[in-house]
Amino acid sequence: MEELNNKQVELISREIDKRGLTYTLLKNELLDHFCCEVENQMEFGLNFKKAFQRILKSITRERIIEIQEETLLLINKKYRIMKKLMYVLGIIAPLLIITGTFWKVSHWPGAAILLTLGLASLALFFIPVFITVKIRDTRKKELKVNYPLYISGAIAGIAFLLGSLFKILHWPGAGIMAYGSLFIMVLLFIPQFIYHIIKDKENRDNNFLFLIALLVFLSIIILLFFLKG
Amino acid sequence: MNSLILDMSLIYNFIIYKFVIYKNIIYVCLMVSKDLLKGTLKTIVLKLLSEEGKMYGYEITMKVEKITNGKLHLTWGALYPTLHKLEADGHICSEEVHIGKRVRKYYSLTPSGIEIMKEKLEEFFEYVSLITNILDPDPAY
Repeated sequence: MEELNNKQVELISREIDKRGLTYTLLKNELLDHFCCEVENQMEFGLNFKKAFQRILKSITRERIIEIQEETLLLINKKYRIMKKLMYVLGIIAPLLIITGTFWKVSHWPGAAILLTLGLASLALFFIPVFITVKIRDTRKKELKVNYPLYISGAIAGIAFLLGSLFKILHWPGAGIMAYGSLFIMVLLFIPQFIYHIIKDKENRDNNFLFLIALLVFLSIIILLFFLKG
Repeated sequence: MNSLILDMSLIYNFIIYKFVIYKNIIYVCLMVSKDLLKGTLKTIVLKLLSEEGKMYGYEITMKVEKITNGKLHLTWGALYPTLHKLEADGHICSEEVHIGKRVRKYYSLTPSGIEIMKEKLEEFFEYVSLITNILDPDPAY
């Protein structure tokens, strides 16, 4: 059987990449599979271009993505469920908080329930799940996990959200939590995060944007504290 | 012919027909449906690996086509998720061979894979005999 040369293999490889296949282990295998199929077609007298075009028809983007998802799901069911939960919570919790705020401003009954549900699910479910997924993703890419960053971020986030929740419910301890979270954020999380931005060149733009938004948010919150005081 | 297909689709829900129109003549090909294949794919892969020792993905699809005279075609979309799942469960192990720019992954059974293969085969034949009894009962009974 005639073997494809490196250039032809690369051409097929690029076509697979274009269709959004990112899981390297699967990609290597599929690349070999498609190369074999092309070689098989060439056995029947087709030239490379024609054989390649014929194979390409069966490789649609949707199919590639679907197969990739299915493979990852089969390999790692728990992780996938967690990630899905993260997305669902990430949509529902802010919606609850926004609706709750609107209710509260309008002095309608039931605002406290909405806010409690939103803030509590964000603090107690979303942030731990988010951190676990993030750590796992980093590990999967065989990069070093920056634990101080994640842990300080998680503690600050949870303390801030619970602080706001306690404040709304008029429970004691809200002030300590809010101040504590601000201290952790400013003294631990932000320096770590700036270090992370310098190191992680791949997502620098996104991370930088997040940092700016966080700084603006923090300054507004601190300003509000002082105005109140 | 029409009535036959209607009957078949009503009774044997898992067998489908594929119509191929070629030069104005309609050919009816019997195909094994995806659902039916899905449940036995693992068994097929394990059994083939136990016979051949060491195979790569494309080789498995070719082998299946050859054995079934082209009636059963394993698509890459069905095969590779199954292979990865079997590997993640520790039933098969793999070994990578670099061929130029390509990486070929050869799979072989692990001891637990051999056990599972035997279990699955037994289960499958039992299942087939049960289903056959239901769908095509022997008039003697």
